[in-house]
Amino acid sequence: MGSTFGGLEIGKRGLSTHQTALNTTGHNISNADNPNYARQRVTMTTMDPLYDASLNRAHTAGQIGQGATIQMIERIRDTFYDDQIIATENNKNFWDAKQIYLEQMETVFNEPGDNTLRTLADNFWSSWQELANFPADMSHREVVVERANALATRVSDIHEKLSRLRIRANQEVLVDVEKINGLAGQIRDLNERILKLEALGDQPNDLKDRRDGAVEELSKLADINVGRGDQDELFVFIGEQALVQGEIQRRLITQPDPANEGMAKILWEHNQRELILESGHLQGLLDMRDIAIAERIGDVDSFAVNISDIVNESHKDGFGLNGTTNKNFFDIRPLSSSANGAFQIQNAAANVDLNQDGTAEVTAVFRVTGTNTVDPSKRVGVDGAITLFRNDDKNTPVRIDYSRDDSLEKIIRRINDSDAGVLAYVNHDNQLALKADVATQKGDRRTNFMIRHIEDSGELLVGYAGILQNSGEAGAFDFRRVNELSKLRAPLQDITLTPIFHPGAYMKVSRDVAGDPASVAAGRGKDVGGTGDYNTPGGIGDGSNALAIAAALKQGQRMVGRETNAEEFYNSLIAKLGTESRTATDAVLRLKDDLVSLGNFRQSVMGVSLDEEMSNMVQYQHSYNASARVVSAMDQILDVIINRLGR
Amino acid sequence: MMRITDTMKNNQLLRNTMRHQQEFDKIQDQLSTGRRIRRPADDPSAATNQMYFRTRVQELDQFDNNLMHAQNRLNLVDGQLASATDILQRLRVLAVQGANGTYQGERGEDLEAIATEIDQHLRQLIEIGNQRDGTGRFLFAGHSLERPPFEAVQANIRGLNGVELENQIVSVKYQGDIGKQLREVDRNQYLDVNIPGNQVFWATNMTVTGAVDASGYRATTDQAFRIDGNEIRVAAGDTVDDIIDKINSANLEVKATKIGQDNLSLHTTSPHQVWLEDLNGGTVLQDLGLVNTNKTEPPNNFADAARVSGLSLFDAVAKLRDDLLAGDQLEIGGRDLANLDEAIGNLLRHRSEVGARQNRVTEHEKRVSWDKTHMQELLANSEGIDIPETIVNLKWLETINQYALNVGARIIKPQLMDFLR
Repeated sequence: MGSTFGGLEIGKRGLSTHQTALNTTGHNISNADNPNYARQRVTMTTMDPLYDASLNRAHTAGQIGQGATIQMIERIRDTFYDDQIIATENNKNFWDAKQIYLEQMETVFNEPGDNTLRTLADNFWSSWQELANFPADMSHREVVVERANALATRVSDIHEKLSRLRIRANQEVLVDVEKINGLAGQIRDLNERILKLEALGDQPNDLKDRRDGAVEELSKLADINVGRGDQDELFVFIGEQALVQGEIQRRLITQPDPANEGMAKILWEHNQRELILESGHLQGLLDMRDIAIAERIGDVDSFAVNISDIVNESHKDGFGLNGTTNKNFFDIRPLSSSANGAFQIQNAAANVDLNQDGTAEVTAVFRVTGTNTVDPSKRVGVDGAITLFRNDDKNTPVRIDYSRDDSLEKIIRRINDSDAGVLAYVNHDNQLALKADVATQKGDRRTNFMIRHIEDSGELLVGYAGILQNSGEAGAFDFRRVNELSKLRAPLQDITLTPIFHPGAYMKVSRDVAGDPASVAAGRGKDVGGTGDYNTPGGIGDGSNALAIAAALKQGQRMVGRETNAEEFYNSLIAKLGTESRTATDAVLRLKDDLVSLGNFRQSVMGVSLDEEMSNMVQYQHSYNASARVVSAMDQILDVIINRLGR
Repeated sequence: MMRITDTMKNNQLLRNTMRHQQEFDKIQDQLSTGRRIRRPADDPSAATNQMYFRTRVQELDQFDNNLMHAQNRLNLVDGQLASATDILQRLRVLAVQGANGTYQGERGEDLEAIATEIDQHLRQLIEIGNQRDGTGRFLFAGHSLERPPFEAVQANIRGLNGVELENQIVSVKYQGDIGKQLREVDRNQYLDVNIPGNQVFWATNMTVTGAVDASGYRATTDQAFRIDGNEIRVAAGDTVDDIIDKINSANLEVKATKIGQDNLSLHTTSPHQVWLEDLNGGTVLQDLGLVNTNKTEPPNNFADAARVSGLSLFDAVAKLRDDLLAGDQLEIGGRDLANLDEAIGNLLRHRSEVGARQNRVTEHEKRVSWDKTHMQELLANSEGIDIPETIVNLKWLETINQYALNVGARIIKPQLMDFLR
């Protein structure tokens, strides 16, 4: 037989149970707009009834219910969706970072518009055509110089904007690394608190929500794996390395990387290994900084150097109104005479101290032209193989075989198709020229525009074209040795030395020409005395050199990068940029949609529905009221028993 | 079944309205600029095409401009050649009159009057030869624009009855060159708009004969020389016959023969001044006794011993005058009249040549303008929007957006709470 006051106790339990349920409902409603909040449910259960199966149990029909109690306050959340959202957020932020930078690069080039690098290059070409129409006039020379200035200024402007974009990407990298460390710290702290509370048997629902939120935030930055295997602890991995392991956090640090122009390198603090990422916002930034933007900067450099060299090459053979010749139209400041002291000229031209140890160790040559006149359509009549080095980290040799029945045209195409770090073409004087390309992705950017190796087992580059002095390994030109200019036949005026780093930033019209536009060489000279150089001016009415320069700019086969002229080079640069940007934009849109539907799935599980909470509230309220009624009924019973019974 | 929460409804509504706003933004941009794409990512291949079309249009504009200048210059040349022809016709009449012996007067005053008139015409012709174009540059000088192409040498000459005539033009020197004035009229297509004065103002065929015995000649090295600007390559060991073969097969208006004691002789097949240059330090022409490399540049570089014959237009007119003053009717009626006829023929030949070039220019202008129209059309198709289509899209978007907002407003508002008391 139960206690007299048992009923009162049951009523009290009802009251407190439903009050807790009402409180939880209130908590849910309050957090209805918290995106990381998972709704909570009170799980009610019955108290242990009377009596247990024991000998001293009362001999009544049993069991007698003892009311309700709260078993747990449960968080309703499905980690299946969480993991999917983490992966998708990660991917989306990867593309987001890319998309923003790619779009900004598109803005830098401002295509397809009316005032762009392309239109300025077109105008520059037009000015040579006009000069060819009026070769004796000063005014048209002024126009040529002005248009060249406009082009050069725009090139350096674009170069600067891209460089600034790269620096900004680097700054964002630093911010991201700090954020990762901060979030990892939060997760670590939460791990610790959750562990303690769970040891006490509590359900730290809200702390878990916060931890899930931090993990999701972290997943935007880096491609993390979450280990939920252990009940108490949450593991966060980046690749194989644990970023957070229970109560242990591993920090990331940044260091300027001298091999990458001082851009930050990300390392694990505990073992100084480099952080390896595959996607996420941070990796998107790194991709932009070290690939997309860096490549565009290289392209602009390439554009500047090649345009300068193409114009100079023809310009040097022409004569100005004032009879001057052998003048550069654009300045190409050679690396070996860089004024900042870092890469000082050593002993002879073209020798450069690249590793800054005080002695020169490389010969830096951008272009070398053969001394002999060739006919590219004729068979060469010699056998052999040319060996060139690809501009990568391993200096991969590329062997190009040729035989007597090949035409030079065919061999040139073979060289240009082989990605050998060297591009070949036949110039306006029908001489074979070789020039360097930019480094491949794996190559050292400091060796951009350096011919790495030229070797010919036969006579093609030697006796036929007149580039090398001797054939065979002994006669090979290699940039890793000094004083290699002696291996080349061409006199210094037919060689272009490697320009200083980032020539795009320094493109400008040479002082000779800018100071005296009469030096703009519109006329083709004559080679008197068979020296191989144009040394005697023709009349001032000769515009053929201006036409030759115009032709070299547009229709030349001079190879700018993989393309045969500057226009194609530029167009393919924009096309590639546009395609990349398009890919990124599409990916962002698609992943955003994915995230919305994944978010909806998750919300459908963990989201707070106000209607649901309302109806629950009404239900709990009623139950609470009823429990109160039970208590007052018991109270009346007790009143009867205590006050009225047995009077 | 999926549980729907308030956040979901809210997100859905937000997402749809956001998407509509983006679409609105795009359509607004398209309608206000008239351009379909704003940046390459909108349509990478169309962007590349547009860049190509624009560059091509600009290029064609330049060719158009080049053609206009070429046409102007050719028109000017044609006008000058027309005046020269008129003068020569008059000179021919005078020569015929001078030749028939009727106009002699008492002491030959008539002849002297004719001679004076001829001298005036000669000066007029030189003026035409030194004519300038619109920018003040000589028309017939080739590349040598520093000085007038024709310089008259004046001297006193003996007139009739031993009277000295003062400051008469005795000879005319050509100081220009045969340089080409090339204009690019289409990709890699060049048109020469220059007619050098020593070709158009020339009366008779010219012959240059070297005084060197060439029978045992062997070229020592590979070298080259130029005749009238055309390069002829000589291989080491070539004999004079090989060289003659090479000249004759080079399709020039100059033919080579061996005359006399194995002397090399060049003669023109149309009246013009022969232009001889040894190239790149070669010495073929010098070795064969045609030029003297130590002398100044062509045309005044013939070897001293070489026999040179051939009259310029001015020489022919001066000779006519001199013959009149000398009363040599036989020469006037014979050689001089023939020279004039040849000179007129040469002028007319060049006028038809100019006419042919004018036609070529006109043809190119048509081509270029057609190409330009075509490119602009392609450009317009690629970058322009279809306005009706875009507006219909805008209207459709407006409708959808209205529905979305309407439905959203209805769905978001009512809550259970509104009905509980």
